[in-house]
Amino acid sequence: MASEQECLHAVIMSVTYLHPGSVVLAAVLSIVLAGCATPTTKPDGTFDPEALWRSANHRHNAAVASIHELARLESDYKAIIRLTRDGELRGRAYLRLAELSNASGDDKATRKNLEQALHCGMAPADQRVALLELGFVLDQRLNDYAAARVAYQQLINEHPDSKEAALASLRLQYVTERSEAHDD
Amino acid sequence: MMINRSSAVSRLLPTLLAGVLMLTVAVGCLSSTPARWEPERKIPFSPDDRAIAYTHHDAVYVARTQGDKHRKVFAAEQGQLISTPHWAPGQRGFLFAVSAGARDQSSSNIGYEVYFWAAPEDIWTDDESSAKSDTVELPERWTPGPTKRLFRAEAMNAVQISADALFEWHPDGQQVIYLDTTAGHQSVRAFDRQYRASRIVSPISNRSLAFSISTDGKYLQVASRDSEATELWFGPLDDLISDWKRIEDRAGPKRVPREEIPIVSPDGEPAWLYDLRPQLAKWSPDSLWLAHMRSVDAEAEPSDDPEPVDVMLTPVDAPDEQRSISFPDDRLNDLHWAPGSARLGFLDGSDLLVIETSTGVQTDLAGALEVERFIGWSKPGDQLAYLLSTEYFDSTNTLLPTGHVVRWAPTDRHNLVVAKHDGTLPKSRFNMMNIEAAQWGNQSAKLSFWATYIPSVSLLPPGDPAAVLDLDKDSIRWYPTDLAEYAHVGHYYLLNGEAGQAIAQYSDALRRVSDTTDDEMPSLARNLHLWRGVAYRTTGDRMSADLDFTNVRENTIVEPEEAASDWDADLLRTLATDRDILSTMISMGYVPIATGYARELADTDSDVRRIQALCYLSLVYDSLGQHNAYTENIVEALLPALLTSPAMPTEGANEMLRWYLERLTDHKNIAQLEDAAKLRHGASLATLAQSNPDHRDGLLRGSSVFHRGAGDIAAETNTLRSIASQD
Repeated sequence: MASEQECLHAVIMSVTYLHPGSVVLAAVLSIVLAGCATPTTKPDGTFDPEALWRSANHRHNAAVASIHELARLESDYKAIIRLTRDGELRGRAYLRLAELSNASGDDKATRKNLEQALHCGMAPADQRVALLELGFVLDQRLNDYAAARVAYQQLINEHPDSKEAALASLRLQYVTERSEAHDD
Repeated sequence: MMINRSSAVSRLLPTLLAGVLMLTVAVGCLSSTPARWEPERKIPFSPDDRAIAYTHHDAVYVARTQGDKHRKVFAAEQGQLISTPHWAPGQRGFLFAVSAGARDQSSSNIGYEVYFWAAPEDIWTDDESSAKSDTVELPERWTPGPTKRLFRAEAMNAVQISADALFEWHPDGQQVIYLDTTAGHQSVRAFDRQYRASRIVSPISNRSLAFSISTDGKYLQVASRDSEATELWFGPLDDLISDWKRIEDRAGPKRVPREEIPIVSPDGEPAWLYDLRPQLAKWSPDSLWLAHMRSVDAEAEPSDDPEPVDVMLTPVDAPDEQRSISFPDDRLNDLHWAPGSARLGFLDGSDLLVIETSTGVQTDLAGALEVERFIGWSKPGDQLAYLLSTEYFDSTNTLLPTGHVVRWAPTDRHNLVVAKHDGTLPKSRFNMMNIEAAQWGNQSAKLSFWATYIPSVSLLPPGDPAAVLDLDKDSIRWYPTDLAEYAHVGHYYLLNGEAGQAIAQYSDALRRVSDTTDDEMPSLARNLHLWRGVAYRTTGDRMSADLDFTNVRENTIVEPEEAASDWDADLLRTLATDRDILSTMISMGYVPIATGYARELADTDSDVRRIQALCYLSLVYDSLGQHNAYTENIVEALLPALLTSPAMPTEGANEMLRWYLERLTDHKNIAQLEDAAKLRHGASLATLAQSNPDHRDGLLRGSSVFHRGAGDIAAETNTLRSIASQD
């Protein structure tokens, strides 16, 4: 779809074509209409405090409830870890805690939860997920490139034919580059 | 409604409130008091790993790591001290030191004698097929072959004997290197078994001394200290100072165990004997390197704050070419060389680090996990082991009708993790018990350690059987030395979900108990019925469990101070039994079983047993963060039962009401509830207040807190006004 300016240009050209003597008119039109055709900022909700208030107010109670639900969820996962003797279930609970701490931006807790999960004797699929995520957190969030390399390499060594290992190999290249850039 | 008012109970209550039914172990707490010398508890393997020998309860034991042979070799007489046994290199015998523990009147030193015991051949000819279970038989009352006294020497203090700080084998298996004391100074000597002669093998002597010999036997290292810093020296086994080299004049860590000794110092200050072994450098397996810690600021007083240290690497053939690696704090422990001498592993606080000696590159082997002990690499070098703490949770309490406070808190239980040599593929190999003095075998993937069950809720008698974990065969063998330890082996199985094995172990222990006349057996028998009943319950065999629990109840002894109260003795016995059953279930990790049992008690009883069961439910809900269930249980069940109980003493009921209302209305609890729940519980408390005029104010205040938490200003206002108007 043609932009406003393209349409305007077409109008001006048409006027000029139809009335060759109206070059001056065309010129004036160009100047005036060009100013009018410049895109103006529409009044939208992002910058309108009243609209922002309405939007936030609408979502507020749900957010408060979510915070409470987050605390309950963490309690439940920790209770599972304490109550179960099933290493796989405990490992999955730690993975979920890692997701929660990741979502709340606590990178150190995320690392710890992933490492705890890896100590639980999880199923291979969960192990791969945990190692991949651990490598990412170490590299991208904690800037611990050496530990990230260890995590990715462990994934590659232990699960060589998996898609996670293939991804880890690719990421490993970038970890090395970031590590060298960081040293520089 | 009848409430039993008893002045005797009111006198008893403060005492009972002070009685905590739990053994709390503070994990990792720092203290500003100096560390004391500790008895050595290692369980050394024979050179071929086919046997172990250890000192326990004033006796020396030897056992096969396979099969059933378990023997007491030597029993100390009253007052005697025994060291840990030391297996002779390449031989089937070991040394141990014995001392009367008394100071010689002329020298003021403690005399000790070193004995050699040659193990009989059947220790080695017995095989695994004769073993009936994972637990070896209790030690036979066996008359051992004669021990041979090798030599006598003198120690500065008796602690050196029990701490096993006095002697080591030379790798040649013919010489014994040991400390001797003369005129207030210790020196290092060597005893030759062939020539039965002794000589001085180091020019260094001092009040506090420690030594270690290189793996190849060519060099001796000595740590020496008078009152200031510790010096480290090494040299060949001779007394020529010109042959010796000082490699450190301020060894770290600064804080080492010490014991006061009866020597008059020139300055009149107490004289101390320091255990310098933590400051000794570690020999690399090829004897080419020494690794030790240097204290950066030797002038500062030891404190609990971290202090910077350097790890020093000294090449034996060029000791002037030391290298240093700096660390910001001195919490470096458990230094171990990896086989091959290219890597040095240690704990930096709770971080497990490895340093490549050639490059100085450091690697974190356990990530962000907090390692409590680093056990080192296996001799083949393909595995390493460390201990993690198993339990991280907040402690919680509950107050029982009898005034006891039951606490559920983390204790010092470990997770023994074995990983590949580079720390990858970590796997838990032993769990849920406290592990002490763990060490690798000399050749194979075996680990020996003491395993103690520390209850997290209820008190149990002490007991810590020795264990050998064979990683290759994925098996564990236990070495109990008495019936109590034999019973405690059952705890391992119960903790790890193997109820059948636990029942078998407890049953076997019960049979043996019935055959003895020991005064302490009735108490052990009662506890065995308790533990076995819990184990039966976890398998669903309620009939067998109930039989055991009945036995427990019949053999429960009410404490004299409790018996003097106005509580019915049978009721007290029943309450104590319920308490022990529920506490044991929770402590062993069977929380759903415990809550099911508690609910049954609450449903079948209408009075104090019900109240106590509801208290245990509140403990579990609180500990697991189940705030809705916690609040529901207290408001809708526990408080109504408490306020209508005819048997509850008034003072006790008042105290419980105050205690539970305080915790109910804590903002951390209120904040976790839905608004609808807050309103409902607020209304329930207000209703309770109407029918309990004696407790109206407290209940209404509690109600107002719930209303406030739900944002119901009107209800809160009304409640507070009604309290004020009554006042």
